[in-house]
Parts: sequence; C-alpha cells; structure tokens
Amino acid sequence: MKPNLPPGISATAFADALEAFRKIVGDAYVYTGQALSSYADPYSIVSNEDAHAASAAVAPASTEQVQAIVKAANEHGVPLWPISCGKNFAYGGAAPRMSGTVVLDLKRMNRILEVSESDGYALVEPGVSYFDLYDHIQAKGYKLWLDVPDPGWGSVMGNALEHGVGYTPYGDHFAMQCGMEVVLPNGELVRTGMGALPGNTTWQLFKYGFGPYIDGLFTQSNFGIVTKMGIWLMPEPPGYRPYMISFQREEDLEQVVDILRPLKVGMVIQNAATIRSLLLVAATNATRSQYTDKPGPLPDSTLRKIMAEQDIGMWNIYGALYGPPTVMDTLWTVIRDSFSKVPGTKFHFLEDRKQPNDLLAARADTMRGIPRLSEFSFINWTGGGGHIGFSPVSPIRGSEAMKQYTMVRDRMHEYGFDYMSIFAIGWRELHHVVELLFDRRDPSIKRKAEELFRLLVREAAAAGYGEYRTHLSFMDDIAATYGWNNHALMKLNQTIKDALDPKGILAPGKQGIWPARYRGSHT
Amino acid sequence: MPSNALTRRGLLATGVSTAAALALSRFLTSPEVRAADSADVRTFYDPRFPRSRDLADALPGAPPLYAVSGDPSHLLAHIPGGRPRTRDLRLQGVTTETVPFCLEQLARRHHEVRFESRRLDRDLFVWTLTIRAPAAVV
Repeated sequence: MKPNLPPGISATAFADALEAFRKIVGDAYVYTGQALSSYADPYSIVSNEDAHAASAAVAPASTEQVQAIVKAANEHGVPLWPISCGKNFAYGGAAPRMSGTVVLDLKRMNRILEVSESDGYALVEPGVSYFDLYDHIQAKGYKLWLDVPDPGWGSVMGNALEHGVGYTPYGDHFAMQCGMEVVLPNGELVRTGMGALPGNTTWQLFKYGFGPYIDGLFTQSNFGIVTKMGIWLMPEPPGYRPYMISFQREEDLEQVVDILRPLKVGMVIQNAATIRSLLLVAATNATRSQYTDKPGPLPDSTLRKIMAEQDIGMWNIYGALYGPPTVMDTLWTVIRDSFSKVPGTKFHFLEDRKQPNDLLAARADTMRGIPRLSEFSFINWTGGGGHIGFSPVSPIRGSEAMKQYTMVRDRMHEYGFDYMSIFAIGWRELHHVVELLFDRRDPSIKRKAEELFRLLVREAAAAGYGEYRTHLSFMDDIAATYGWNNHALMKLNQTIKDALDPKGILAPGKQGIWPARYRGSHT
Repeated sequence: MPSNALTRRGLLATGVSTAAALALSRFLTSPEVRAADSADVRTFYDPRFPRSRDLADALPGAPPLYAVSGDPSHLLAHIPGGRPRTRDLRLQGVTTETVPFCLEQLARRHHEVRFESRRLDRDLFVWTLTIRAPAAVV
C-alpha cells in the first residue's frame, strides 16, 4: 500500500522521521499500514475518504519522549496531530485535520499523578479517561465526584481542552481546569499559573499565577501539547435528587427557556441542566423503524404516540438537586412552581420512571459523575451509525431558542433528516447541540448531510450564531465565520502560530489555524 | 456450520428479509468467523427485536446469550482489562450497531482485535469481535 505522505515531504524524509521516532519510543509504538485503522474517522462525512487519513502514528510514554518527538518532527518537517484518547467521535475521533499528518497518540501517558481529597482536585496525564479517574476515586474511597461528559470513555484532559461539558455543577470543564504542563512546538516545557513557581504548593489551586493567563491558548488550538493538567473535583454533596420535567408542545420551548434563565443565572438550578428534544430522548430507547417505515418528517400523530409510549415530552429537562435535604426541598419548590406555569408540564423523579432503559436512569448517573456510554444508543435511530454535531451558541432566551430550533428543524426536514438536539444551559449561554444522523455506508446520504451542514453553518452565522466546536471537515468553514474586523482574530491566531511554531509541525489546520507553510494551499 | 444453525427457511421464519438471511448465511461461512473456533465466546442479542435472539442463537458456540438493548454501558464488564489472556475471547451477536462499535473501541485500548460486521436489516447487524490472546501467552 502506498504510504499517505505529509504534504511536501519526500518518502525518504518521512522514512527518516519514522526511524527517529522509533529510536525514541521503540518499534512497537510507531504504527503504519493496517495498524492505522484505529486512527480513521469512523463517522467521516465527506466523500473523500482520505481527507483525514494519518500517515503514521507514534505513541510516547512520557513528557520527555513527547519533547524528543517534537524536536525530531521539527528536524524532519513532519507534522504531528496530538490526541489523548481519540474518542471525540462526533467531531472526527482520532483522525488528523490534514491528510498525511502523523498522529501523536498520548494514550500511554495515562497516569493519575495526584488526587487531593481535601482540596478537591486531580492532576492527570492526557491518556486518563473518565472511566479511569472514576475507578481510581472509587477504589481509593475519596468523597469526590468527577464531572463526566456523555460518553465516559474520552480523556479528562482532552474534553476540557476541547471546551467539553458535563452535567454536575462542575459541568464547564475548562472552567474547572487549573494548571497545565505544556510542550511547546520547539520542544520546550512550560508550566502555567502557579506551576511556574519552583516549589509551589498551589499549582492546582490558583489558576492565574502572575502575568497573562495563557491556559486558554492551549485549548482548541495548535500552540502546544498539554502533558499534565489539573482538574477540580466536586466534594460529594450530602444529598442528590435527579429529576426530569417534560413539556407537551413544540412552542413550549420559548417559555421554558425564559423560565430557565433566571433559575440558572441565580443558581437555583445548580447543575448544567439540559433540554432534550423528543426524538433524541426516544432514540436512546427505540429505533425509527419501530414507529414508521416511511421517510420524511414524522407526522404529529407519530410524535404523540412516541410521547405516550415512552412517557416523555416534546421537550424534556434533565436536572438534579444537590445538597442537604432541606436545601434541595427549597430549591425544588422554586423550580416546580416556576415550570408549573407552562400548561401540561409533568414532573418526574427516578422512582416514577419504570420503563426499561429509561433515560432518566442514565442521566441520574451522569449528573452525579458516573461515566456511562448510554447516550451512544441514540445513533441507532436510523441504523446507519454516523453522526456529527452542529453546535451553535445563543443567549438563554426563549425567542432565540425558538428561532434556532425552527431554522434548523426546517432545514433538516427539507434534507430528509430528523431533528434531534440538546439545549445545554451554561452560565449565560445556550449551546444548541444538534445531532445529525446519517448512514455512514451511504455516499448519497453523506453528501446530503455535508451539504446541509455547510448550509446550517452559513445560515447560523448570518443570524449571528457561531459554533463552539466542530468536526474536522468544517473547521475552516466555522473559523471563517468568526471574521469580525477583516478576520482580526484569525490574524492574531496566525501570528501566535507562526511565532511559536515557525516550522508548522503542530496540528496544521486545527480550528482553522494553518501555519505559514500550509496557509496558501489550505485557506 | 454449528449444530444450532438455522436453515434458510428457519431464518426467514424469524422475520428477517431474504437479503438479511443471505447476509447472515454468508457471514457465518466467512473465514473470519470460521477461524475463531478456539475462543471463549459470549453472544449478545437485543430483546427489543424478537428476531435478534433467534439469529444470535444461530451463531457458532452461541449459548448462553446476553441481552443488551441499546445502552452499551453494561458491556464494559465483558471487556477484559489490560491483563494478558490465555485464550482468544470472541464476542458476537445480532444487535444494533452501537453495541459492536463500542465493544471494539473499548477492546482496542488494551488488546489486538479482529472485527467483522454485516448489516442484516435497518436495525440489526451480525458481528464478531475477537480479542486476541498475545502469541507469547498462548
């Protein structure tokens, strides 16, 4: 099989680079040929199957090996794409943005370096998954809760660096990050915040240190390789009560969001609560063919049948109460009274949900930091296995939520896709995470999905909505929408990129940031 | 073919289409499936689809069968950790696609795996995932 070389690199230079990598990590940890199947994007949406194909992969076991690999990559001009666990499947998985890039797989750097029960933090390496950290905390008996995203097999560090979210009060993962160790593109090692002070005891306790706060530069970027990261953990609360609130009509979304905003901003709703659309909830428990064999949007009669059979609403809030019972009782009274204003509202606790595989049971685990894979079952809805996320951000405002909902729903129906989404409530913003399901074996469906996705990006941007995260194939599209003042932000990113990484070896094209060496050919 | 294999007529009686019956027959005779006879076996089906159990039961060395309906979280217990195995472990089944997808992803973290899958109809896939014992341990 002909190797998929990095652009502009000769076969000889590439072979020399691989030989240098083998000397650093050993033969067993440099992967080529068939061994690269793990680094393919399983849900690739674009017709060119090689668009994100790796040329090789190398798996270091230590920070020193990462530094040595980076230096060798500079010497040979070979680009690297760092991954932690590579499980970010709706956004490209372990695959690199640019075809021919060598994946720098940090899976062997999987040490939990420290957990402080008294101060509530962990210091981890990139290869530590949520399952790993959860198991460690349980084994040690620490009274600490982890905050987990939906699938729990991803990297604690990787998720925070990609601005991922979870569902406890600690759900904003990057906000809970404290202190990094970073290998710069020239191989130099840096510690951020208090970590820069030799002998400090506060690296995982105080984020800002002295001088500019630079940790954000190493998130969703290609400015460095984070090899250690602190993450804050939540002390186990004295009480916990998950709940679900269901609403019966499509148009209820507007009133629900407007009720929710003051509750969230005022911290009556304590956690990162979510509003889930009917079909997203239904799809975790059933498939489309169990309700219809006809293509096209589901008629209202079918939607009502699904609601009745699964005892769910057109919209469904999943949230939880945390604290002493008296505090939870008081908070619940406010929440219940607030949402009772919406006609037909139903309130559910775990003990009310008797159906097998009910989503609240899974959410009850996730909202207390127990990692699961339950959410993955929704992609069986249409049976084709492929999905990507379209994730525009808006204010927590009912009119904005309805505008986004109708805009995206109508386009999805026009292109023959079912609408399913989560509105995730942040501190001041609403993440509208739309799941676009497609049959990954059907090129014609994939073409439609790709066309639809690009259209949604353009229309959302025209309406003032930007995506907070995206699949590899759309990074340039979305970066281009952040174009205020003649793309001043991208120019700044490129200036930083060229200063830190003059040879352009680190993650070319990540988030639309191309190094000078590839800029002309990719942007 | 295993003794509990369904005939073509038997397959059609489970409610699968002719195309699905053909796909399953081809799958059962594929070199990948036939080569894995020396493995420990665990077989999964999806109780939401009655035909799934009959079809899973036709897989080589099928019983006992494990029910798994959509949520792959419960499958973690079936993936061995990083300890070396002395025999291959074959996980197989007739389920929705997320089940083998998640098992494969989990198994690859610590083990060399072989994976084969074939779509039977809109919802169900027949699949086999062999977790290889290291040659030095066998």
